[in-house]
Amino acid sequence: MKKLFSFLVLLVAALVFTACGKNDEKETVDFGMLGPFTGSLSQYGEPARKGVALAVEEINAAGGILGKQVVLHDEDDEGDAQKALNAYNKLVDSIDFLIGEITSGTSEVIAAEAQKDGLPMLTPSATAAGVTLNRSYVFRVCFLDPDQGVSMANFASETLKVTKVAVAYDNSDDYSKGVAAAFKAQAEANGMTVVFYDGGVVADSADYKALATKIKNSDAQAVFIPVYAGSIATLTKDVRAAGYTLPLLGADGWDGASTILAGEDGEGDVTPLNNTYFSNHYAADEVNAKAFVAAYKAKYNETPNAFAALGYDAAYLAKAAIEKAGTTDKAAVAAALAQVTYLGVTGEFTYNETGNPVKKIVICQYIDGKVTFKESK
Amino acid sequence: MSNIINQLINGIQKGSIYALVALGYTMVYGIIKLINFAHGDFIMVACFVTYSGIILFGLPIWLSLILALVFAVVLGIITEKVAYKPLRNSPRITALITAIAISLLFQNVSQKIFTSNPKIAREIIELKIYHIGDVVINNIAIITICVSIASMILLAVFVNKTRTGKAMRAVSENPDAARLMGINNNKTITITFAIGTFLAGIAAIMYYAYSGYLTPTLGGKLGLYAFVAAVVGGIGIIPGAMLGGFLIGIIEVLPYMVGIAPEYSDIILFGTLILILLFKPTGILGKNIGEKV
Repeated sequence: MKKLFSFLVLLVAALVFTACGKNDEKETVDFGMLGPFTGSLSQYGEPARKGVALAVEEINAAGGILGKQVVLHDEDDEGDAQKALNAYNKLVDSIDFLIGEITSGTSEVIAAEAQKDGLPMLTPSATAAGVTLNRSYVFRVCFLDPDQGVSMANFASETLKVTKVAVAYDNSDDYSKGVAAAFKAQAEANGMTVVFYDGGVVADSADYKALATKIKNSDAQAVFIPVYAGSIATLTKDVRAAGYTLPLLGADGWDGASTILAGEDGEGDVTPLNNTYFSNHYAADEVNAKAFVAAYKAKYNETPNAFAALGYDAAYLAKAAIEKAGTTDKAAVAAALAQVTYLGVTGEFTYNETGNPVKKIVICQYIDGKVTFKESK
Repeated sequence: MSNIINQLINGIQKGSIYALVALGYTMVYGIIKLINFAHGDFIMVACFVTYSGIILFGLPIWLSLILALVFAVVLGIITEKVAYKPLRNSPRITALITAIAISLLFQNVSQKIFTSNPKIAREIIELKIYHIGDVVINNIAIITICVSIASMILLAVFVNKTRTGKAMRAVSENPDAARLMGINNNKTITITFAIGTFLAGIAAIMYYAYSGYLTPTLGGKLGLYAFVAAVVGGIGIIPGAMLGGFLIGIIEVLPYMVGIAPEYSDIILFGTLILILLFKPTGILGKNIGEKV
């Protein structure tokens, strides 16, 4: 009996030691990913996940990173901060690099944790300024909210040559508020008149008929409405039904609006989106994006949206940083990412000292439901 | 001036949707004293049945609408039999909690089937826009307003003039006495529910034509506003639901009419509710009847 017991003790000890040994010299590079892959924000999270998965597949096919294969651990948080935190705690000890979260609010919560734990984190699409501020381990792939407002205001005055604009945004949403404020400031700096500045575009409303009537009765030559695609589908429909035919302007939240209007069978009316322009992270018909778009279409049989492109770039940026560092040591990888230069699908990257990329913003136009590259601003 | 009139039309149109939903709330509450919090979700279900019929299965529009109505009524009767009937003699709060559970159940099942990505309905009535001077009105607004007023009148006539309506009122007043008079309580309550969900079906069709923005959670906000409408007008009172609905719809566009920030619309709306509850707890058309001991 005693012999059996000591044998068991030895066996357990042996198992524990092998497990430890395995942990110390891992044979893989582990990427964690957090995002809303189901739920109302899944239209942002799921493409990002697919973009990352495609990049990881390509990286592994080309020999991995530092000779090791990459393993992707993705956890769905449904865009809920508490669920994201639980998923983060589950992942944190086993991963070398975190890609995510997708939305600004949840990313803010996760970024604070990642900085505390010293885990390099790269969010594909959180555009709120605070996420990377004073956090040496946190970076982003996308541009900042205010940058889009500035670009769109310049686009309105320089390309569309309008002098009177209106702004309608969602006062309860930080993203919408931030972009709208930057647009207004730049518009006024460019000498345009802002005829109204309305915070009442509540997300997921049944209709926006009152706002549509207000827009129609104003003398605005273009209206800037930085809200999300779900609301944009209904809003453009109501605004066009009210008889307003002039340009509507938006930001990256507009990506996907035509898919919603077109519906499951793709036969829905997408004409309300004609004569609308929005800032975005990439355009599928732009020159640097073509190879990615082809690979994505081959794998998933659908056109990638901006979130897919950002996810794709995120995985390659992680690779570039780890290769530059020459190790998966977390502090070294974070330091290397700050120095990286990389030509991606969503632009040419260098990072400034706050972990934000320095790159141009793409402006797209909806033509009969198709997102078309207009210019870079 | 034309802006005020146009916004008023927007408000009345939206209000008539709230009124239709509030009619269903008020009707069920008036007879069996149950606040059916799942009412908004019956509307959501009927909307998705319409959507599936027209877009996923390619059925003719009229058939899809009839299917939606039938589906809503059958679902209402089943829900009543399965979830509410066993609780007939339980405290009222138990039935209320069950209604909330039903609401969550419907929302989550439709989320599973249809995902939570928003869907945009196609036109079921071709949109025609009429200009009278600077005033703009469309045919869907006119139809919505007419349908809700007609529903209210028909419902009031049904409850006040028919035998079944009389039975319903009797059950509402005193279920035990009604049974002694030979009224089949269970059957009467089932009919009440069937009518309530039929109204939900009508409201769904009107919502479908009016907004067309479909998500599995659409019943939540719609139901909440309509519930406020029913309470403001006087819950249990049929014309009260109508009045409350129009009032809530107009209050919602009030900031646009008078030119203040639209962020204030919910503040004004729920502020009105609190004021009415403070000064006239039975609602605008409610009568103060002392509780019988």
